[in-house]
Amino acid sequence: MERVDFQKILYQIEEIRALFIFAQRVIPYLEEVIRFVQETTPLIQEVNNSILDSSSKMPAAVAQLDKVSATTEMATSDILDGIDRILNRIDNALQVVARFEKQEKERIQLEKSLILKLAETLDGEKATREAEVEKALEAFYAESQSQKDLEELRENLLALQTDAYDIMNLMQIQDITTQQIMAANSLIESVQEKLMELISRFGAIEAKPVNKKIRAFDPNATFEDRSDIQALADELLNQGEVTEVSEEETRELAVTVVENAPQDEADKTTEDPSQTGEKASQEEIDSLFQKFKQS
Amino acid sequence: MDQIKFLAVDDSPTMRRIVVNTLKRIGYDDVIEAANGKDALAKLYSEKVDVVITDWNMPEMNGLEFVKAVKSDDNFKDLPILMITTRGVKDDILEAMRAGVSSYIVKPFSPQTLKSKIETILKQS
Repeated sequence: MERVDFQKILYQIEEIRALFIFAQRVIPYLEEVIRFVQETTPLIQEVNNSILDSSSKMPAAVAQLDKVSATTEMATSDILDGIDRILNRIDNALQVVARFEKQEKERIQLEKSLILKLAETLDGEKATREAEVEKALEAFYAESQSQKDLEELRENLLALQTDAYDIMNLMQIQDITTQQIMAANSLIESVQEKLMELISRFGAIEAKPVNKKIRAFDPNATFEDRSDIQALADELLNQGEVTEVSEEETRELAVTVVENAPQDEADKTTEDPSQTGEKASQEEIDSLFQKFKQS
Repeated sequence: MDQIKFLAVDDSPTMRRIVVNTLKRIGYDDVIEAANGKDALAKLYSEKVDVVITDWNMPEMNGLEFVKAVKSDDNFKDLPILMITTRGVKDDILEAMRAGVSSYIVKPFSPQTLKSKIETILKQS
């Protein structure tokens, strides 16, 4: 008969007792955890619903922003039409001023010759008489307001023309803001995509693919004055960062990009430029090109 | 002034109009337009163009791809291309230069800048 090892039994009983004591201490915590899970489940469900709700509103927000772009484009087109009409009218007015000036000169010439003919009938030496009449006529026409008025009118029309062109030039803001809106829309669609993934992980719904529009934009587009960054390009050029690409290389690049790249890849290229690069001013760019051409 | 034919490429009708009107203002009336690189390539094959002014960010075929495609064609390798874009990051400028653009203008641009760049391009060509 096998000998009973009481020492071992006692040790195991002691272990069981310790386990009971541990369980006694742990149970309240477990109850707490269960209660927490019970309480948070509806909250998670609520968060889920909220995300689902917000996510479902995102396409509407994107559509609204697209509408803003379309509306501003239409309005800009109307403004540019208006500017075209203003410029045409200014052109017409300048032509009228030029015609009027020509007529005035002809009229003055005619008046002068008539007066000189009349002067021939006066008494006195011919040369002296003519000189006196010429002098009197010059003084008379110098005081004439019509020439001054015409000159003032022309200056005002030219100033109006400049103002109209300046307004036209400022309309570049439409293109820039459209690109900014496109960037915002692209961001909203990406967030929507991530939220859909998150919800589907919770098992609330099946992830539906987000209908992303193809957009070509620069997320860094800005209407700020960019004429102060020329120094950077100079620096780049001095460092000799520009290296010419061989004709063959250019050809390869073009073939790869134009013929083989899928449409979405091509769009990604236009949508996602480096966000970390340094901005260059017009002067910097000019200098960069100067050096590039010389090299 | 000899009649110089321009091709203005931009997906934004507003920008095309501004470029065309600015060109007219500085004395260049002969301008044709395209809305993207693909459209512009087709125009280049059908009409004789002296100078191209192109945007970068465009759908279908962007400005950089367009420049590369133009420069890879022996018929157009010497065609001056001026890029007007919002992209003012140095790497972008270098990339455009490597692709073969003759000049680079950052939007928003002034008529004076466009005029001086065109004059420089025409002197060089």
